[in-house]
Amino acid sequence: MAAFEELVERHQKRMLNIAYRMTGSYEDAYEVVQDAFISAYRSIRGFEGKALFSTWLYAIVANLSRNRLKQLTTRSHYEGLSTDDPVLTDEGNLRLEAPSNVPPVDEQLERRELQQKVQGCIKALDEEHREVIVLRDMQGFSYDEIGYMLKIPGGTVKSRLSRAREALKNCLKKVLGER
Amino acid sequence: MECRNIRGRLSAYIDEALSTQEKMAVDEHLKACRECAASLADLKKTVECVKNLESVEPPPWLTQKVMTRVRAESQPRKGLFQKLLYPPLIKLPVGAVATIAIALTTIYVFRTIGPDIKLPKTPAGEMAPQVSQKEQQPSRRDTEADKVAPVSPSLTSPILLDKGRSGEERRLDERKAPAISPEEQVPLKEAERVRDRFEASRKAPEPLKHAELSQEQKPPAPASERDESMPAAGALAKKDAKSEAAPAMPRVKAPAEEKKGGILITVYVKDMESARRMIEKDVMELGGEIIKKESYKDKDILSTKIESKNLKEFYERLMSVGQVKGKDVDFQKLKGEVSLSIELVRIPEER
Repeated sequence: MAAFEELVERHQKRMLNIAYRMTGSYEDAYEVVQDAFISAYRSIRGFEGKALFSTWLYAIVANLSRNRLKQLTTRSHYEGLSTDDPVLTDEGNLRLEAPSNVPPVDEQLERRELQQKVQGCIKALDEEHREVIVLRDMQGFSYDEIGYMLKIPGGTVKSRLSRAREALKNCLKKVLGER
Repeated sequence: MECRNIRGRLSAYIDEALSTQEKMAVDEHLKACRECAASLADLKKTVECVKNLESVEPPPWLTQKVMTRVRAESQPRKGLFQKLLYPPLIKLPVGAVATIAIALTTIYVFRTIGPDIKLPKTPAGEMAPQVSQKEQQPSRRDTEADKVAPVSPSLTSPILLDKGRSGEERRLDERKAPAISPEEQVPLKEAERVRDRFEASRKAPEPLKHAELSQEQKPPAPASERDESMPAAGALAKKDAKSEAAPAMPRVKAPAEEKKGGILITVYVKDMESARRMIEKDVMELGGEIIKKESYKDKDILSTKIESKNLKEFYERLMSVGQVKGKDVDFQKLKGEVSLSIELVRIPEER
């Protein structure tokens, strides 16, 4: 039990960020992380050691994030919800915001604005493109690791990532303007 | 290589995921193509923007919450049975409840299906039901007897007031009861035992007992010849509970002769052999005993002993065997074991 707690401490941040960038919702992200750890605990005996344990763990969170994103997409499609994170939750409580480092105010605002735009463009990508962008460009996983997590061949990872980056570039050009 | 192909490889070029040959081709193209070079630059900025996105911090309670759920997972799961019964909704001392349940069950079982305890009865008590059984019999027989015309006008016994059914019919009905074959041979010792018992009963009356051969009143059965050479055919084997002395037996008279040493009944038959067999069987069924058999040219004589209370029935059976003739004898006056000589006479064939 203590060993597992150590695993939780070590990997929760990275898992949270994967889930957050893929789902676009902080609230959904930490629920996904909890579910991912429980799932890992239950199926830990099924870990065959073909990949690193961390890779296996992130594959779980990536899969759960994908499922959660599908649910959110379906819900937003039928309920007409905004893809932007609302300030208040359904119960009327203040929605949790991702805490981050606190730079000077003007830089902070500029930076925050930029990040929001980038995050917005990521959220605008297709699910498949979003996955590979998050795993490769944000988390730094290799093509093989991404192929293992998403259960796709390496060539598919390469082509999918190319298309994802191209789409993201076009979106950022529109949002940020030519820089 | 065309720009289109180059631009498709720029993403992998950034990640150094191209083969050596491909990389060299892209390098050569980029040197000469400014547009592709610009595309590469834009792509790199895009990747840079994504990389620079700030990572979010997990909430401080996330580890605790995860571990709480993990610990819950590690608990052994209760089966449905346990979930329903534990903890018990009503806490009762299990032992007390079990004791009460067992006690109630025992009481219920004892009352509804309790053992049928039979207490030993006094002799007076024993006789009463037997007497009543005996009383019932005549009435039953009377009912059967009421069905048909008399067998023979010459037979005037009250027993025949029966407008008896034909002898054959009665005989067939009576033969339905399990009977001991006259061919059954009882060992000599058994016969001696019966004789001894008879002798003892003659000396002193004995209380009636269930399944015992004889009974008990004043002796009188005259001792007829005892020929030890003759087998006593199965006299002990079948003891009829009905054949107990019944003071309330109706008065009957039958054509027979009171002979010294016994009663003589003559029966006229056509087939000696089958008649003899039938009579022997009847004697056995009624708990009697064949003492002696004598065969002559045209007649057979069977010396038997039968309980007086069975005489009536035996007489009725004789009437189904053939024509019974003789002077009237009051069977009621007879008590105990009666010696009976049955004379079978062949009816001559009409020519």
